[in-house]
Amino acid sequence: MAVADAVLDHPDSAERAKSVVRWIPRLAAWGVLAAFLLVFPLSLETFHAQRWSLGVVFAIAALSLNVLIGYAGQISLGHQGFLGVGAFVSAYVVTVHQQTFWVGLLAGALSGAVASLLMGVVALRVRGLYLALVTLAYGRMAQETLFNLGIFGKGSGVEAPRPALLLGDHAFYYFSLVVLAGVLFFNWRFVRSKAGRAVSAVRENEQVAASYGIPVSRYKLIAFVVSGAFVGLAGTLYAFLNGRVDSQGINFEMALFLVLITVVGGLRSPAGILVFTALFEVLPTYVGDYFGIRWSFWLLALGPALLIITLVFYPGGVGQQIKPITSWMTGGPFRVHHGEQFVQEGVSGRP
Amino acid sequence: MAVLDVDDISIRFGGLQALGNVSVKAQELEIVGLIGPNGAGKTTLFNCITGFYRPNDGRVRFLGVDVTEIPIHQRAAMGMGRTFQQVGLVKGATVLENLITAQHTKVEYSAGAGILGAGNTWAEEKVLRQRAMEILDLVGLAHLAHRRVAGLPYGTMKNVEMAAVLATDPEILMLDEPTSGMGPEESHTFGDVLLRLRKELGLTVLMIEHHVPLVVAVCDYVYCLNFGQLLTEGKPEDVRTHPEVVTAYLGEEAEEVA
Amino acid sequence: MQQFMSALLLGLIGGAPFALLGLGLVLVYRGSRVFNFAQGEFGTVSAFTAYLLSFRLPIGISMLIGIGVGVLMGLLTERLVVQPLFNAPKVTLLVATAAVATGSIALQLAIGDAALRSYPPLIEGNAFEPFNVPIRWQQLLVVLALAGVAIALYLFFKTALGTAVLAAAQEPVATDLVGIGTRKMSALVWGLAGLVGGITGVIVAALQPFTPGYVTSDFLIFAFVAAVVGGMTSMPGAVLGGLVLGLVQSFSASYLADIRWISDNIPAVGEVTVFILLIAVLAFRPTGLLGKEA
Repeated sequence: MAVADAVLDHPDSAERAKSVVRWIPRLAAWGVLAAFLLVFPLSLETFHAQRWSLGVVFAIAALSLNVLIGYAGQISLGHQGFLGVGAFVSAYVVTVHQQTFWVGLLAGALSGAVASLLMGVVALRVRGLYLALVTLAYGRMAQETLFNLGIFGKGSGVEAPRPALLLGDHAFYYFSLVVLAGVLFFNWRFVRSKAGRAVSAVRENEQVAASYGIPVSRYKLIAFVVSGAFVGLAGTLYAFLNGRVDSQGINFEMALFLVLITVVGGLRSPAGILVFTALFEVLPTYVGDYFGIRWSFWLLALGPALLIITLVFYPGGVGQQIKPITSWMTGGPFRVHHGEQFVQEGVSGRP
Repeated sequence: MAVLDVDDISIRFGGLQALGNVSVKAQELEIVGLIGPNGAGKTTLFNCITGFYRPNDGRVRFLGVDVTEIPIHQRAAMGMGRTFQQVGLVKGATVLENLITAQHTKVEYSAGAGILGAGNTWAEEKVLRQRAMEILDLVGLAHLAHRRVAGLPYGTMKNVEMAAVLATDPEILMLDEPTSGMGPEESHTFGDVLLRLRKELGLTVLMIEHHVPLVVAVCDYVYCLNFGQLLTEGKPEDVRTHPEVVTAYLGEEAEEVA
Repeated sequence: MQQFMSALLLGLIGGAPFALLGLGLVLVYRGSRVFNFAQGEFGTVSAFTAYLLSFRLPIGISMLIGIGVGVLMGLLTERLVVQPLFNAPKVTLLVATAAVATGSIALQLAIGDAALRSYPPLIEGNAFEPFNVPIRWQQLLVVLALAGVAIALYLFFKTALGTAVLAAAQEPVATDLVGIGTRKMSALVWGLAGLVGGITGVIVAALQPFTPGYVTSDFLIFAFVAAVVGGMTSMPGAVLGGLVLGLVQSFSASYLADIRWISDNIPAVGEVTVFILLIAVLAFRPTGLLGKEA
């Protein structure tokens, strides 16, 4: 047991005494980050506050896609279709059925989960390239038909009035941050508990997972449900941020944008996804402001190039690049890791 | 009552009879060996027992229950633990994470409670971690706990795999060529570890093994398969000197030479 | 009768672009085992180029140069995206080709804008009007292009080189025997895909005014469904699948939309039937109509 105790206590248990000192610079860094996210936006005028909120919405949607692509190894090129379901159902529940915003939020998460679950059932039979095609076709069908159904205003969309508490764009931004924090928490617990481990095992090797007693199909579906609930929340925020929702913006470009920020941000790296979403969603707004709209098209063209470069050269994405920082921020040393793909460790164990 | 009772199993793939009327038993605390030339159907038999294949005929009984029709993961939950010829591990995860994953059926909280971070899940996670470390200590791998599996040498991976299967808390341990990739020295040590594990954990073992000295040293009973048929069975010494077994292996060697 | 015949005619003609685009998809799938999401953009880029050139050059020459640009884009995609990801999972490659498509659309937006463009039709007016359904020459040209491309590909795959191309995906070693390396073979496949895509683009772009990403947004998904219905590995299957898809669309538009409840409540019902068709084929007959493997 001696070795086990030492390892459980973590290799640097001797340094624990110094932990208070070690945490001072880290806490300071967290403070700066918090101030930037919480205090700086107070200075923003309405338009930019909305863009920041939209950034948070896309971050949540990307975290959702990360559950599917990153943890479960399932592709979705129709993720905007699930976001749309959350958006339309929450708006519908609030506007047509006179429910409160909070009921709408719940309905958004639930409906997203159900829609995604249905796709999960398809994914049990249809895999890989063909699943990509089905999700793509679903996204298009959702945009052309589902979101123009009679109950959703036949193409004219649905009103999504914000509750009094969130009427201000700054208030809405902070609320979006709270939802993001919630999603990050659930994502963390997902990864660090039974479900996440089972989903990862299924991704890497279904036979091994089954021989560990993991019901493979059920955990695939669980991954779809978790992802759907996350993106349903994002959809709800999307609808109420704009005050109404119609099928116009919920298109294939959005699906690809989500794949882009998820993959370039870094699969299985929430920190990388958040950082890249912030850069890629919020920055172009300012570029557009200062240099004109055409420049944001060029930026749009830059995205796919980044995606290909990431796929070819940096499979770990931004998350891999910022690992020294994230490791340091969470109490570890500031150490440059080698890319996961190229790890070639020796035989010897830890000292 | 036998822990494992494979009764008259047959399986065909297209026109090929992969297994024909094979019966195998493992009594409690026995170490049973399964030998035979390549392509004899040993791994196919493993796959029939654990549920990866559904036999055309015959029954598989485990702990007195007929499990022939139930899915893989339920058999695993009942206590069937197996290793794979090509190292069955989650290679992107660390050794410790693999052992925690392997305890899946021992986790009492629900998947949903875990995701929501419910109160009881945190303490239980600690217990899972603790148990994983105990097992790693038992097999002498604790120093590798935080290493990613993908970077480990092949022989070490085989050991980690066995540790992970032990973490499932099996009633029967089914090993598919556990010493492949090990030298004679290492496989000798492995035999000692296996005997110790049986004593300490009260395990029944069924193993596919090519290393004849190891089989003779640790097995209580041996079955020999050839072309999907049971060639002979009995005490290791008797099987080893059985003329047909000798011919079967000789034939294989002759082919390898040719 | 009138309704049936017109749905039939419109379906067959409407399916021709799907079949044409689907041929390119099957070509790439057989050669590289990947779903090429950039196939539509090989077309739009060709059309876009032809449009820009048509102000200075005769339309026929502009179209030829446009097709050349399509071939170039196919070759570039192969060199810059497919080669580097040769050993990556095929889904990764699929995402990469989707990125090529998006990048191409963004570039078209950056160079031009989102405005509608059109170039003069090659032949004006209606060819004939069977059952009071006016068929434009332009639509007939798509059908002729389909027939031409299909026959050309059929003949090409009869040659030794063509056979080797098809063998390349299954047996990379086999191609070395013919004396052409796997890499050159891959370039050949993508160049051909660019050619087929380019022809598709310049021809269908004459059907109606187009915007950046026109071929991708209007035809690509349906072409994929057509190829899957046909079996994904079969060229005749892609043609058949395209026509089937055109018929499914025209008949749902004609008959389903006639049902009042549907026209009141379910917009674009053709999209739903196509989606259901796709799921049904994949779930119950993954080898499609003429495919040899899933």
